[in-house]
Amino acid sequence: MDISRRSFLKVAGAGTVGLTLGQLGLDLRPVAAHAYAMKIDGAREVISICPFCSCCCNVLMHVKDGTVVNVEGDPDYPVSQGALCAKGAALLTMHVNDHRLTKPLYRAPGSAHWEEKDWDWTLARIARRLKDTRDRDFKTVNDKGQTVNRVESIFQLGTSQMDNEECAVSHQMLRGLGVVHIDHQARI
Amino acid sequence: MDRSQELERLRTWTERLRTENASLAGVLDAFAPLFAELLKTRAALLAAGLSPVDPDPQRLARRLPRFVDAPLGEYAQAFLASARRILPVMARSFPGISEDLRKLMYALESDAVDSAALMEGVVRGDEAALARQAKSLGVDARSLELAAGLALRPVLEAVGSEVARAATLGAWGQGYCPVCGALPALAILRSSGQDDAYLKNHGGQRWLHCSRCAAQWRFQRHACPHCGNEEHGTLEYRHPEGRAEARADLCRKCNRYLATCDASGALDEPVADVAALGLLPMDVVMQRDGFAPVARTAWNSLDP
Repeated sequence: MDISRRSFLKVAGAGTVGLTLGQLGLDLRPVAAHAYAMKIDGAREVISICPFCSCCCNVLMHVKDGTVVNVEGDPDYPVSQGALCAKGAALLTMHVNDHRLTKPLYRAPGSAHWEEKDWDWTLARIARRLKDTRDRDFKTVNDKGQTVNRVESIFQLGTSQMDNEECAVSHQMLRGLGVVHIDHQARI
Repeated sequence: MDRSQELERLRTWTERLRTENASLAGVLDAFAPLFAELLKTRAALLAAGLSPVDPDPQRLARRLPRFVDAPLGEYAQAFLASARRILPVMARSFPGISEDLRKLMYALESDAVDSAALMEGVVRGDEAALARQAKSLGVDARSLELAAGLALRPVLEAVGSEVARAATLGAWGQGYCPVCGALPALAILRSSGQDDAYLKNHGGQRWLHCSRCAAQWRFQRHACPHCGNEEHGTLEYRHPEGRAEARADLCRKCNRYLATCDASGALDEPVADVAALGLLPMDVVMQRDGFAPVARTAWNSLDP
């Protein structure tokens, strides 16, 4: 006997109880009144991947109107079985956070104040400073005459909020520039 | 958990729900005695010697529910014993069909009905067979199906408990019940672990609660138990504002919804049947919006 899922649905679906609560002799009106007064909210659950380390635990992102409203571990993911580390558990705050900066802030040398700057100004400034510093300090050989092709006066400190892909791109860019002093906030 | 503890939990959760939502008082008055009698009847059947059947690994591996195509004649006496307890309670709770229930009880006691065929008709969803029996008894076929289904529940609960346990261990993973093949009336989300110093935010495992035999089995979070759809753009959930634990998970592919109790953050998990009644307002909302329940039950078939 070969029974398919479809034939089961036919069986299960056919077993419907057709009598309504009213036909059973019950008054649904109070419940209906209560239901119609309720404000209804909702969201979608989307399977995604925690970006913070190479474990790549699955997460369920609850999304409403394009915004993440909740994050929980995916209980069906066989590696983590629904658990998240403290960092993954706080993934929501990567997206929804009053303290998250949405515009570049610049503090001039000697200044005690932060100024809002646009991205064009900020990127041009960073590029200019990087190029000037690299042009000035780039070494092709060390004291022993060995080829090194590096710049030692630039240091990059990564943030623990960077995900795997950001870390990879950042690392490749810095290596391409000859930067050798690289560290990560999480290690400090 | 023994019978008295189960009854105490049922009473506690019923009163809690009554306090939370006064509009459910009439429905609770009708269903709470029935749920209590279902518990008592299952315990009485087990005490009388009805024992769980052994799971069949081959059937489970083929995703074949244990009783969907099995002859049920050997349970005719247990079914009659169950009906003797359940039908009088139903008659008091559901005055609209009390006359049909009286006729059915008379027929059962006078051997005027083929119990095995009735049970098999219910489990197989054989509407034609049920209609024939209803006609010969002079009762509404829907009353017959409801009464026979509820009288059968304690029997299936008693004999199917080991099957449900084996299905969970063997990752059954289907949207229909491993014991009787029916679709779920409720989903319960349970925490997948305990928070500790290193691991947090354990996502809720989705457990389905059978609409016919009350067996529970695990199912994936991100799929429709009715049609198997896994496309996230067509799966949503809704809930009353500020009460995300009282959900209805819907599938836009088959236009079905499943009442869902998120107990993943709860200290004490609600009784499934009571939790389903507590979600009745969501049934109203979802059916108003054009969605049908994954499985029809005695409480979620609403008047137009």
